[in-house]
Amino acid sequence: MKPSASNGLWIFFRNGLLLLLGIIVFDQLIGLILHKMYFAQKHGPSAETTFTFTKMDQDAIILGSSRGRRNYNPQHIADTLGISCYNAGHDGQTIFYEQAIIRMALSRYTPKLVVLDLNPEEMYYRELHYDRLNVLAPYYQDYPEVRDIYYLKGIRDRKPSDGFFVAPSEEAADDFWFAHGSMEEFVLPYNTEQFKMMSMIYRYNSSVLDIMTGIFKSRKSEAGFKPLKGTISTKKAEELIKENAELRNQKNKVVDPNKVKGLEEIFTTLTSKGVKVYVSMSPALAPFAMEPSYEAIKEVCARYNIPFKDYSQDPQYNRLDYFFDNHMNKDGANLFSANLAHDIKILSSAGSVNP
Amino acid sequence: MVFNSFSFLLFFPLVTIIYFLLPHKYRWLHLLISSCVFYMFFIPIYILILLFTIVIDYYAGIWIDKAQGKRRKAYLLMSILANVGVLAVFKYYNFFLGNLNWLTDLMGIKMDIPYLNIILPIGLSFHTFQAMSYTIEVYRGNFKPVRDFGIYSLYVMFYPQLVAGPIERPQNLIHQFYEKHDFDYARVVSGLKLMLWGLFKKVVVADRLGAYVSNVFNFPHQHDGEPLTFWVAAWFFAIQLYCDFGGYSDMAIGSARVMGFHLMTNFRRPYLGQSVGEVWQRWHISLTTWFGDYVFKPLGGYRKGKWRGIFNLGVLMFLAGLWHGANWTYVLCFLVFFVFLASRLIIKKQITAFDNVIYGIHPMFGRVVGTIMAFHCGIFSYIFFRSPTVSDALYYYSQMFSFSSTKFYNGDASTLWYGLFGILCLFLVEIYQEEWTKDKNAIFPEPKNRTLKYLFFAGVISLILLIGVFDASQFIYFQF
Repeated sequence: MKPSASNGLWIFFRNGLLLLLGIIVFDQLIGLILHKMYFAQKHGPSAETTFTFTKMDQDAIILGSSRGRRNYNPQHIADTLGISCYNAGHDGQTIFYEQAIIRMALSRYTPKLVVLDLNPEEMYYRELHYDRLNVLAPYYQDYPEVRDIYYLKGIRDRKPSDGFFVAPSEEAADDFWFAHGSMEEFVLPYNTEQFKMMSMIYRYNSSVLDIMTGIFKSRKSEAGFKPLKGTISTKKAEELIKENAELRNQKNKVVDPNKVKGLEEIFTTLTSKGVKVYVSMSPALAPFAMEPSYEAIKEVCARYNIPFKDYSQDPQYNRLDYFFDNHMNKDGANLFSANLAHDIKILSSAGSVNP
Repeated sequence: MVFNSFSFLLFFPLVTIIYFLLPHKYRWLHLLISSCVFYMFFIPIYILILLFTIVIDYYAGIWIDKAQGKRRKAYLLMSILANVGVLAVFKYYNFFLGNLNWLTDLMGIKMDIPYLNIILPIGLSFHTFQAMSYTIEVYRGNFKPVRDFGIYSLYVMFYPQLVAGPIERPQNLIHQFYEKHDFDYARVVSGLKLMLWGLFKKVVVADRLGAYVSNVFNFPHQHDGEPLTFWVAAWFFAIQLYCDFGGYSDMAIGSARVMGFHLMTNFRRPYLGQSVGEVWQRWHISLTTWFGDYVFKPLGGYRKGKWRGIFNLGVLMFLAGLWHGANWTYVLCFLVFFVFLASRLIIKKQITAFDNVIYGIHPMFGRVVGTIMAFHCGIFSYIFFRSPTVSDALYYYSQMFSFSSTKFYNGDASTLWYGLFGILCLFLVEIYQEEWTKDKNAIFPEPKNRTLKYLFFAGVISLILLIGVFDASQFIYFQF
């Protein structure tokens, strides 16, 4: 017999609650297993993130994206400056991740030197960079230091007010009728990531294979340094330069105020604790666009009196032998790291490295 | 608002609960307001474009019904011109201007007509086509015009199918707004299951494969000398396109079904079609039948002989390509598919003989071979669909057949493995729907035992949370 509408409604809610219960049990159980497995990793990017967040104690830290990770051999800095050094670069990450490392490191100890690799286009707003904040999700529960950085994923270019309620972006407020997504910003002024993080599984979204690899496969690095082996061919280099030129000509690039704030926070917290900071742009095969992200980096560095050197188009590295793709290979990285260490030593001895 | 967003997770239950709580006479108004909010989540001002076409078509329908003789046609033309005019301005203006500039440059004439710098209103081609089907059906005498502006507005704006179809016909949809839909447990659950399956297709399969596809199609030169990479990306794109659009359609049909509305089927497991013709019949059904009813049949269809039929099919495919986007790549995509469809008519005897051979070996063998061949016909046309320019597409073809090495780009390994897992799930569920179940409405191969059933669905949702892609991705077909 077919249930009546009201009867059907009751059955629906009862069964819906049962399903919800099932989902919660699954979520908590699987999430707990993933949590244990995640922090049991021995090698790989996630294990290295956990190390930099919880155990890193080296005197010098190298920060950066894949260019930081591949182009800087910490051994050269350690040997030249006579201090321990770790490369905390992470593929695909930006200022936000580096901001998290600094917060976590300073909560445990005070390093002596931080070398920050930035690419000249670092400060541009890119959706993708916010999506990549999911690398911080596994630390959300246990490390409140990274929480508000992670929340940027849910609010992006909007103005945070108290973390839960989010004020609409300037564009939406100024031009409600013509701004894309303005309605959503006014109707749902919440940071949706806070709701999503109620799911334990979501914190490990798309990471189950990485976790397995991190547990079972040895992917050792040299104090975080992961050099690339091989040399780019002439043809590939030409294509790379051509494709990068096309990317450079993309319009609507804007400097991301969240990244500027992140950079300012890194400089403020480090200099206030007496940590020496050095900003470097490592060599690149394909030239980057220089404006206005480049200017923003220079301006913030100047404001905080942070030494800044752009090696991105330094002619001494402009040889295919030194590159794997747009990243340096091991030979290039070693040469560059040795020179960089030398430059830092000169600056340190001249007292030019702040504070 | 997109179906795979957090906003929709709040919007949908709220709208549905209020819908069932409200007395029947207010439900249409609730749905209309909700649909306006849904649409205005994109660019709010663009709702005026919808209002413009709604007003024109609403009155055009009434005037067509009242008028006699040539006046009927004049009102129909007015309606079509208004709809096509909106499309021409917002979607095709820059395209036609670009082509005009190219032509005048060839003739040595300098033109300085400025391009328009506007964002294409979301789902424009979908709702203008739905609006046109209304006035055409009224003109043909198949449908009496609606005398209720609110209901007509809801016909155009009904949120589940507003931005990406299915493109409905007035006969199927409008009467449903007058009917009272009580809460029906089985129907609601069936709608929710369909939505869940659509979400799985979108976030687990389409968006995952999209990462690989984008890398290869956007930077083809980085994969020079890797023909296998080009083949894999082409296979993946075919599946991505289907799961993206088919997933959206499932969520649209499912969300409407929850509230008691029946929307037409838009995809019927197209890649299980055993011939290119069958794939065509299973793919974007609401659009192909739209062109069939309003372009192909009025031109004479296949009634006026084989060659005229092929010509009519060519016209249909050209327009279908142009409908998709203001770029020759879309037109060429559909023309390549047209070549495959037409060849089935031109060399029918040879194809039948070939079919007899492969099905003669074993029906299953024939089926597998037919399905693989039909799938690859789709792939060859989709390369134009995905490539930014015609020259990019030609380069892509050249790389596919370069056979220069066995090098293969596996990208981010997890993308590949999650993607392949998603494809496996898709394949198994679609085979189940097509072959293993007698229940035409069955979606998942779910256990019969109640406890196991709950665990099964909790598992599916957990799987989506675990390996779905939850970035700010849009649906491919929104741009049309």
